[in-house]
Amino acid sequence: MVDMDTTEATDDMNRDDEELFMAHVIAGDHELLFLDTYLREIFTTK
Amino acid sequence: MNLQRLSDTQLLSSYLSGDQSAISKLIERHKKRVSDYIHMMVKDREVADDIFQETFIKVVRFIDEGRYTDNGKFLSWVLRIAHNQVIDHFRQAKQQNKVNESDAGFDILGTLRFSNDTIEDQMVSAQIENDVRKLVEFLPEEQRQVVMMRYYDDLSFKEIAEQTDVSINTALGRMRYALINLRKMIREKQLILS
Repeated sequence: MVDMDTTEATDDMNRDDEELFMAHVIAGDHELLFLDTYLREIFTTK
Repeated sequence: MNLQRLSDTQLLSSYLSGDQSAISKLIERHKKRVSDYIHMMVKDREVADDIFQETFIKVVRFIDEGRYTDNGKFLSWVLRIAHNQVIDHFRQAKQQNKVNESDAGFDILGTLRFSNDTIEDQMVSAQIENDVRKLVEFLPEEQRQVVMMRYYDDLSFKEIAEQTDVSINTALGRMRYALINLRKMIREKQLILS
């Protein structure tokens, strides 16, 4: 199981949440974007 | 009616009841994520824009034809349509010897279905959702916590960082590795998200 802190993310408090998410969580990986979308929808749908 | 406050389900229902502005609002709400998704897979901006247009034309057509059964996962459904459009593009390009094999390769979306019309489809879909929710329990505690705060509490990463007393860098990193770990588990269990 992977459990690591990022070392490369820029801690810029002025960037909005979505920008930070796309840059440092998704980072160009379309599968992760789909997975995030899917998870958000199933966790908010009961 | 304040369309901003309506859920996707409510907007769809309004559209099907005759409110044309509701579908515009729905598309506006999600167009950035759909556009980002397509652009990640297709580097050519013009092609990506074409696929974006084709995606939403198809989305509206399917809704009009009664081929979308709402189950609270509208954006996931739209992304799967976008994904299929991208795959079609790669197949056509491959036939023209324009791309390498890896460009149209496997990913966790697997064999895509977006029909939830039958009872069996709905039951399978519900079971997969239950299985995926349970996988979150297997994440390391810090990652599970970020996932819960993000999806259940809808917190920003700044808020998550403050509430868990870590830097934004750490909160972002935990979210990224949570998604990476969940993808790994989904692949290992060969779940097909639908």
